[in-house]
Amino acid sequence: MIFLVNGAERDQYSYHINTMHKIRAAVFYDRLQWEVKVENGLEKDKFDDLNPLYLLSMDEITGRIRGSARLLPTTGPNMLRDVFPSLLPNDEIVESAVIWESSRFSMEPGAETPSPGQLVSQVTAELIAGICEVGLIAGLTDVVSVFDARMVRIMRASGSPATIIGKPQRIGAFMTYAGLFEVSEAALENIRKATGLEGSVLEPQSVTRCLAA
Amino acid sequence: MYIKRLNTNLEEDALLTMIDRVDTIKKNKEINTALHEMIDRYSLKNAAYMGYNMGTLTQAEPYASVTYSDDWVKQYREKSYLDVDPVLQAVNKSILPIDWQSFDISNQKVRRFFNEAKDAGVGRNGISIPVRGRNGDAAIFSITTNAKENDWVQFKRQFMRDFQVLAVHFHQSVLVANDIIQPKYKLSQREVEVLYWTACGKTGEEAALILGISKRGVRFHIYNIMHKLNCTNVTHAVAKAMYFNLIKPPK
Repeated sequence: MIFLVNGAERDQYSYHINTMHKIRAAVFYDRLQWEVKVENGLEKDKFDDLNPLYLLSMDEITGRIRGSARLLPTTGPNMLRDVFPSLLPNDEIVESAVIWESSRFSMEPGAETPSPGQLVSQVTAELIAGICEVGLIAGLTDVVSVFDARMVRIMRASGSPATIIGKPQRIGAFMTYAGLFEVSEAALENIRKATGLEGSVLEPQSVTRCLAA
Repeated sequence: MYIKRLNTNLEEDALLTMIDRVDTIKKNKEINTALHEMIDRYSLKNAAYMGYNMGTLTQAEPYASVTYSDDWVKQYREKSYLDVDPVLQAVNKSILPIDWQSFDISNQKVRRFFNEAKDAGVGRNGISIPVRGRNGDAAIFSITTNAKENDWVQFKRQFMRDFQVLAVHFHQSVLVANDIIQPKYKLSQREVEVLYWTACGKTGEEAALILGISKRGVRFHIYNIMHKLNCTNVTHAVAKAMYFNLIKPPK
């Protein structure tokens, strides 16, 4: 299930948040070798200081955090605007009240292995469905994200194909894309069909807590 | 009453009309007029905009424009509810819209605050939408209704998107009205071309020939441009477009 935590609650949920930063270090620094900063085994960037909304994939039985994604509004500072502006053609920007940005989509090693009979893993499915569900609560039309070719395939397999905007570019060792994902009841239905998820993936108490901030 | 509106085409119109309305705001007092207009269009009870981190404008206290009764505003001030109101505490914490129903009313101060608000006619239920601006500026935009429980759920599902959009437009207008940012103008590629050739001294007919469109087409674009830039004539539009770097100076 998906456990929601506001960036402002990082002290209250330090175990959850730190596990997330550890997994992000293992994925983005160790495995993908992105140019990210790791301190004390935790990968953090300046956007973590802007009170984003975190979606943490949590094992229902053990409570263990297995993966995460991070959401920020595009009306404020975000990665596409501030880090990857070159992905969009001249002076085009994504800045909309109804588009949020998802970044740092990641999961612990092994958690990306699909369950038998499925195209994507449980954690992948939960995170993607969770982003769509949160988008519906917030009244979004789309979620924008910067990602690599691997993610393009994962998104397609999850029933949530990306609409590529701008020009793909080689950044470091990877082709990098900016893409939009639709947020709608129909889009959520497609994700559920493609991944076998039934019903909401959001942990209800964390939703109530975050909606009351 | 909200359900009934589902079957009409009013919603899209309400949003587009409101956006146009809010985007042409130039003075502070128009903010409040526009909030009232939004209340009418969406059958709301109240609306409130609170702006933060806008330099000297919000140094002493947040920028506020509300439709609440004078009595409630007075009471709010006298009792220093700026420090109690949980809606305001939420602005820097979350990016999700906040349903007032989800606030923890086990805190006695908060419970009393909401009871008094209800008595003052603030509204039976409400949502508050946090806004984040480009430069650390922020706002919290609230709307309330008197809808019954089931209608309220339906209302949120139907109109959350509208209010997300309007929240940002109101925020931009407050920034523009107070000279914190310049209004943002955006012309289409074709409009830029038409205006560029006009700036070069071409007549409408010549511009039409160069661009391979009709004379009428050129005139259509010129009217659009004047509307978008809020100009009264072509010379004005050319000057403004050049000032805001929308077109290159002619060779």
